[in-house]
Amino acid sequence: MRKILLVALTLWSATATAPWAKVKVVASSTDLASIAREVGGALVDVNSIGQGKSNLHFVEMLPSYMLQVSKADLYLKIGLAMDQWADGIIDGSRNDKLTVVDCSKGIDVLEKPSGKVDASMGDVHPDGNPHYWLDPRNGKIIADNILEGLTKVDPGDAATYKANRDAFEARLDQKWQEWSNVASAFKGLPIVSYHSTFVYFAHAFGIDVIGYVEPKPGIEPTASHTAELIDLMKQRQVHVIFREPYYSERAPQAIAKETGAIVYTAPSSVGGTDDAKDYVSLFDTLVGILKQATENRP
Amino acid sequence: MKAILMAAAAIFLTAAYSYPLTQPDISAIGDFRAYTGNWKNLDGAKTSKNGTLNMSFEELELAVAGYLNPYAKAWVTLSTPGNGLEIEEAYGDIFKGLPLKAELKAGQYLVDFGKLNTFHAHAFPFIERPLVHQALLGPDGFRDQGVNISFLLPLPVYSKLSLNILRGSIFSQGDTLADTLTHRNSQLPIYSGRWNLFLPIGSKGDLDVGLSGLFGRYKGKGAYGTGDAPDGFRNLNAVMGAFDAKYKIRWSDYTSLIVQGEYIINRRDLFTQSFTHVTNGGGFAFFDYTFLKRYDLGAMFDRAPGIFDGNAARFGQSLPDSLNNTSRAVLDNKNYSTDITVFGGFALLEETTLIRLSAQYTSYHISDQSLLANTSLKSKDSELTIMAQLIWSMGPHKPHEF
Repeated sequence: MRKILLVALTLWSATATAPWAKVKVVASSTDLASIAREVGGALVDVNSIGQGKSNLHFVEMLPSYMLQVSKADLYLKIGLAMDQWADGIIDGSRNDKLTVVDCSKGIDVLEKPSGKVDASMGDVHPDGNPHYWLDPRNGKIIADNILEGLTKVDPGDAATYKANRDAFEARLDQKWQEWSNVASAFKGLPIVSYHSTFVYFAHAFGIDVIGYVEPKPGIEPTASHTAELIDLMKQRQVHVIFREPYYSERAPQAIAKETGAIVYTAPSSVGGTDDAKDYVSLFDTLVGILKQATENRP
Repeated sequence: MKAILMAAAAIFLTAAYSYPLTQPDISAIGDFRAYTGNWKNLDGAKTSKNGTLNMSFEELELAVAGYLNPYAKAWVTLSTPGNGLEIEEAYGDIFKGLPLKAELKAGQYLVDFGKLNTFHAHAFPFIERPLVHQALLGPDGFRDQGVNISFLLPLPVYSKLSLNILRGSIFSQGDTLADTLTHRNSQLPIYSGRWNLFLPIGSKGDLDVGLSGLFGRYKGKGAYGTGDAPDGFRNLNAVMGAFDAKYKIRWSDYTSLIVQGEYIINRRDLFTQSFTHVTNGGGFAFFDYTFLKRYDLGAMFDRAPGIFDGNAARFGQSLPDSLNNTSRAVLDNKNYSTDITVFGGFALLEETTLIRLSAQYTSYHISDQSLLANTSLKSKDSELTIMAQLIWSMGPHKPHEF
């Protein structure tokens, strides 16, 4: 009996965090995870629940995620009702020492509904469009929020986290200049995307999302909406369709066939395509796609 | 009844006038069905509803859930099966802050005996609850009042041990079909538990396996309410065990496959002239293939002890009471019923509007010759039921649970 108790205690203590261990961070998305790696550097061990090629609106509450979070020190939420599933995972983890950071804090939210929101509008987010990480300037706000969280769980290394955050933001500033220069070639370019994912990206780089493959957020394409969209695209001479990697190619390809547009698989998160390896290369990829689209424009 | 209605009204009025940030989530779920079939009594005679189109608003479920504080949540689910209103679940749950990462809940809830039982029926991919659940756990599943404590085991993979002390309603309440042993009053608590292990299989699949057990003692006066022991009530034992497994593989956000099954074994003590016991069991297995995100197709095989069909009354059947009731089914190790069901669904928008279709082929197998003697019953018979269902859900979207 005593042996069994000893084995149980050993196993139990093995799951506890040793003082020299890395800070364990779990993020709702690969984008937040990527920025956490920048700010945390070698002091953190980061995992992401959402994957780049999966739709962040729909994540199954797997017990394996709860296990991950049960051992974590810090959880990074997307917020703005994007990752409501995260609450179930956090509660299921039973981790009362977990610090939860809502990374949308301080974001200038776009498409905030002004009137009553109901389900007839589709899957509208009542707090506004939640894809805010797709404006690289918001990456700095996210980094600030993550810095606050890391400083809270590991105050001893606050100076290192701050230095990492500063270096990341300086790199983003430098890349912003680079991307802006390239983007000047496609300013005002009209595009269509599958879902209202690229609203912040369009806002940042001055492109014009004139319509969506979905008739309303979260609603599958319908024949009548597709016909209207085709007319609008012809009228506005739209040659670019952005398809997020987790949506079907069927409707975008059918629209492309009618309009002569080209469908580009546009990553909406880190890992969405093979070249979007981290937060910075996510924008390298997106800007690169639009540069190519501009060059391909008839 | 009036008290429950008053409570429901109070919940909704409180929610409506409370500060928006502290309002609980409120949802309403409706379940409408249309069905037809070639229903017969066991002597082969067609029932009055045979071949006709029938419709029923099967159930309205009102669910209220929310945080009580940073450590606890509460759930209330009221439902209207038939013409009544009843509390399906109502419990408080302390999910954080307890020693050893324990979770404690108390109230009335669906007991985690097997995996399927904790899900509300509208979340099943098929329409009807499996026969074996109806026969051994009750027509609405196994729910009871009690206390549940669960622990996450310190293993490298997710593993949970859940223990319940329950009032024992599954063995009492003589006015419901869940009365598995008629005329026997539950006076002692029952104990149940489930241990499960969740294993990621590769990058796309997950497997959840579980073992459940239940032990109960209750006062009995003999089998079938007759043959009372001369010295009064006796303590009779009921032991049940279950094995469950669920495997899900996701190829993309659009395509996935679930393979799931359960087997339940049941052993009941009897007292007639002397103590004896009967052992029986049954199980189900199904697959459900989801494609194009909004469509699914599947099939289920289900085998239950006894000649039991929870829909007999609805289908206008008047099966002999000696055969068609759960009290008989739990003690029947000679006769059995099987279902083969093919089902499919179309979700207009995930978790808000769902249309399901099913074709259910039910067979009865009577091998107890004493039941067949001097009757026109056939030893084997079958029926086909075609059913369509519309489920709507109004309220906050719920995240998916494995």
